[in-house]
Amino acid sequence: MSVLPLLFVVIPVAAAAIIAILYRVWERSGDIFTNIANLALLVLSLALVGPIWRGETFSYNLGDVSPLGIHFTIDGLSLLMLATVSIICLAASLYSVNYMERYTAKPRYYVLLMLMIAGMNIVALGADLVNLYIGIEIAALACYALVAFGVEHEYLEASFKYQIMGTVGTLCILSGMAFLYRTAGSLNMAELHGILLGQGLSPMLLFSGILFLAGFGLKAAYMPFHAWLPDAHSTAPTPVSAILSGVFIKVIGLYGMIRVFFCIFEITPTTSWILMVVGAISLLVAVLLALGQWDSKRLLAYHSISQMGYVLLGLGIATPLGILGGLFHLVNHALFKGLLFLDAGSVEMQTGTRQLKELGGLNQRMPVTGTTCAIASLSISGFPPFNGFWSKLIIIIAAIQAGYLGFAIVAALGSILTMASFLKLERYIFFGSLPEKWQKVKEAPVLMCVSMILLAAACLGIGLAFPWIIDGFIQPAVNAVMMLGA
Amino acid sequence: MTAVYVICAILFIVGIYGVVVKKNLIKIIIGISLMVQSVAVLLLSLGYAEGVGEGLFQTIGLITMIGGLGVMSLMIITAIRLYEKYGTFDVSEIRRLRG
Repeated sequence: MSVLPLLFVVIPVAAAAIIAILYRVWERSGDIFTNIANLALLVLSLALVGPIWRGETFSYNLGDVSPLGIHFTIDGLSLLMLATVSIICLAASLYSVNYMERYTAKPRYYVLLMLMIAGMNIVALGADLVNLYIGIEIAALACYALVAFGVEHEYLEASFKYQIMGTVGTLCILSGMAFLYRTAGSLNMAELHGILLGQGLSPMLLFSGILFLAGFGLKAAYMPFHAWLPDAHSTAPTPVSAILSGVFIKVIGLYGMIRVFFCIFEITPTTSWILMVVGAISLLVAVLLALGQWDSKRLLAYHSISQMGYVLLGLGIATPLGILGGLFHLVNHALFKGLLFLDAGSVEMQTGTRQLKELGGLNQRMPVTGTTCAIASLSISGFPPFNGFWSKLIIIIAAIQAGYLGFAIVAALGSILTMASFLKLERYIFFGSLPEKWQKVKEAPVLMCVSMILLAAACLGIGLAFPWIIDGFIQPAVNAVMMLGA
Repeated sequence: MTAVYVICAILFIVGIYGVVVKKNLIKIIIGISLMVQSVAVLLLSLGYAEGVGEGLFQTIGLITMIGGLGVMSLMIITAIRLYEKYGTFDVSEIRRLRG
């Protein structure tokens, strides 16, 4: 019993409550408490890297009645999620201080943001499926409201679409849970793994597996279920877009998928094939759709689907190297996609447009945004020594080692097409001649620059120090997925 | 037990039909509501069939209904705001985002 896991939930909820009470008398309480809370969460999760690496796990039981109590556990995979969430949310909250001035009711935005972070942390910590579901519901409700935060035509439309798709996804997950509990008689993940280990696949289990695949697939926006993502991620306020694309789809969708298909069910060749095919289709089709986009944030949103395809492809290979590549790419994608959204947002804030054809030559006027965006573009296109290169390389090597040459070729092709579409983004926003009307554009405010530099430094740092990152941070998560740890 | 599964499946499919086919925002929301209720009925009846005193199914069933209520109210608020902006409940006319 350690109280540490509880802190990951208490800190954001407390910050949300304090802001909700104080904002009427103290205007800036939102700015200050959100950033302090996110910084505390980041410090806490980084402090846990050492103990987790040494093989410890932390757990906390809230109420000890066996099926009804709330059990929180931190293992390698949870910590990977918590740390990724913390760093992206810290960058987004620093960015919000100046960016969200354009919207009214900024304190309410902070309250919703902190509740969303609390929901994501509950998902990452939960040791049983009920907590997973409750976390998903909290985070999703806050997220629907945040997508609609601008209350203009596009915001409401995107949010409504997302609400419909998200609710259907949640219901699929919930029915899957019901059938699983009916068959196995438990909802605790570790117990379920033990119970299901020897059993074959009964029809009811198969049905619940399909429901889980559909539900988490909807939440993570894999290819047949992706329709809501480009709308929601491109219209939401930029810091929210960064969190949504950076960590939200991963924690709410992919993390559940990993827990269900690797930690609860055994991974079979059939599931492995399904995951790889879904991943490869998402990877290739979404990047082709992204090539045709002229709205910067929409282009980035399509790339989120495509890069999530890489993660699923890596996980689906189901060898230790493949899972390592997938999880490493998950972290890397969070960092560079968050950064790209923040860059696109600062261009939008300073110029008032997201249309690539109207922009150009902004490298001269916005050097920090231009440089960080170049770093992120190189990362996502897979240039050494940036972080994206190593994770894509690991995934491709793992695919070749496991004998899936076709999937390796798809992954390499996807990477080339990604590079093409980011050449387009860079060419139309930052290079070329500066149009007359953007001669007076200024660099983004200091705090926004700080948050972009933070993420850019993380991209470069992980790229240079990747052996240590893999050993200290990713490997414990792989052990947790493969059930080798603890 | 089979009868309960059939009832839940029918409710769920009617809900899906409402979401996929209907053009009116309010009818879509009703469809979602039917789906939430079908899952709640499924959970509660599974708990009843189990007959054990754990109460986990009943708890999750209640949480489902509460969560569904939250989503439903948010959807209705969004629908009202959409009506104020677009002057219609018809989803085929609410299409600014595309591509």
